[in-house]
Amino acid sequence: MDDFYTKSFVIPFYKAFLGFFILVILISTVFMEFKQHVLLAERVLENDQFFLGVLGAFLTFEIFQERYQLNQMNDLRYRVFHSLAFFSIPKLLKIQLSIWTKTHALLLIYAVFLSYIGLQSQSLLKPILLWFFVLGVFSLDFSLFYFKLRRPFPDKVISKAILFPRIPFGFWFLKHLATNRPMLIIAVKLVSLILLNGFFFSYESGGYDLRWIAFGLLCAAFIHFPVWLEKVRFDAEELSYFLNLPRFLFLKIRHQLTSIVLFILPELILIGIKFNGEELGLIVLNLSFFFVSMNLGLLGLVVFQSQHIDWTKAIIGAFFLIFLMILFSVPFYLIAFFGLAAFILAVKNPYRI
Amino acid sequence: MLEISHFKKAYSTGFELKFDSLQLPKGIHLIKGENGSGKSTLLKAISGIHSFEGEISLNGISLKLEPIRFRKMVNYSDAEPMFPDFLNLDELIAFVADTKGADVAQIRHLKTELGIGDYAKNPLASYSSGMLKKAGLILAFLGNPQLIILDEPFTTIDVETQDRLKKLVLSYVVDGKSFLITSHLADFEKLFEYRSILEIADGKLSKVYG
Repeated sequence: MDDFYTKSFVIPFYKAFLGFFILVILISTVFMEFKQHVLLAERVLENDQFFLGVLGAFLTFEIFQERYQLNQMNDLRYRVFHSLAFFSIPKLLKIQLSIWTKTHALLLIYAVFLSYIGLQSQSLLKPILLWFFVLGVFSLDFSLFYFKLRRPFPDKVISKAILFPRIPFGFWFLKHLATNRPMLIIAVKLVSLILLNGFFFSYESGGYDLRWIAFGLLCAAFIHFPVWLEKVRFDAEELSYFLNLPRFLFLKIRHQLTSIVLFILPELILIGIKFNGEELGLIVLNLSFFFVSMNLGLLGLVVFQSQHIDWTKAIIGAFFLIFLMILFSVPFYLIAFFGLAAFILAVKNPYRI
Repeated sequence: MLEISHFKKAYSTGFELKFDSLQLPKGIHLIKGENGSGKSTLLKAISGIHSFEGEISLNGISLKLEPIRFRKMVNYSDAEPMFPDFLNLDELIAFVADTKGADVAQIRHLKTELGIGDYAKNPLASYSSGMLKKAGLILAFLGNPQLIILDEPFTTIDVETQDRLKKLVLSYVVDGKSFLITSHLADFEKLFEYRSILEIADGKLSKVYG
């Protein structure tokens, strides 16, 4: 039955916060070396404020995870788990300990790492305090879960939005992301904007030409790949009803374009800010068009993948092909044409929204 | 057996279901009412899923004072059952059987009676509305409940399963179980010999028969 609880409570948690975990793994592995981790751990063990910071991070993570699990229990599909309350406390404790250990794996690994550094440097007080804190956090987690199971579920009352009573079709995907995948938005936007800013920073030093920025935009577009995967899934599964409706190609393009441009608006604004002179208007237009079409092309590729081609090869191939085109100074609008073509072909499909 | 007093359930939308007292002896009871009249609201309150004002007790055990003991005696099948779609029915059955103390023989018997074969190995995401209904129904019959609540049990399932379900309900009644069934279908009244027929309209519950 352990697999059953992992499938029901652990995997959905990691899926929902995938963006956050990718970001954490990216920072702790790509941007930090092992030596820096050791230095940081020693600092945490020496300095009380740093140590309190780690405890605060543990508690914040726990609050997020617990909030997620309690909200998950309120989901109509999870109502069947109300009967977990029928188990004896030791059995429920065993189940919840297994779920908790898996959802808190990253924190526990870090706690083990801190303890190891503490052992090496003969400073064991803080690691012992940390493990007591971890135990306390788990006790709190279990108590909240236990009392949640004993009580009735809250009623779901659908109330009409006062500010935006009718959400336009093009905004539905954003609304879905904001409601169900907020961490994906945060992670993608954070990584994309930090990366793009880095490209602009090095460009401003004067050693590069516009091809450097185009390469940065290409990388930023590929960072959006998980979002376009989610969009294709959302369109195919949650909007499948609309496949039956007669929707003209122009209307389909307009709706898709609205969702995509809205999502990449921060990057487009950044391009506008960085090239804000009058004579640079054409560059802004050129780069914006290039960035929009790269994202449209990626969406097109994801659609094709779900139909017949091997997307891993296609995605890697597309990246290097565009990279070479940028390197050999192929005009941006010409490169953008390929992205647009892939997008229109994908949207033209009658079995796509 | 089932006693309800000073029941009130109100929503912020303005909908309210309110009645002073209800006593239902052992047997099959029918609750009628139009769509949105509050039948499911009452059933979810009785099964301990949603909160309410007032008092509900079954065989002298209060839902508010001893919620776990009470809920162990009541099984519930939703009108439109929903489950995590990545799980399969066999996994769900194994879980509910574990919580309700159902044995393998009972599971096998119920799967045969409701016409659930090897399809139970498939993820619930692939189920039709009829199969989802069967999934909800089999879970409601597991274990040794005193009261089984079936919300619109005959909608979406095929005629053959409807007949089998009817026989299953009757066999459970012989074993001393009680049923609270809802329907908005006109010909439903002839299906069983009800101990009582209740009707919900305009936020009020009234006894039509029994």
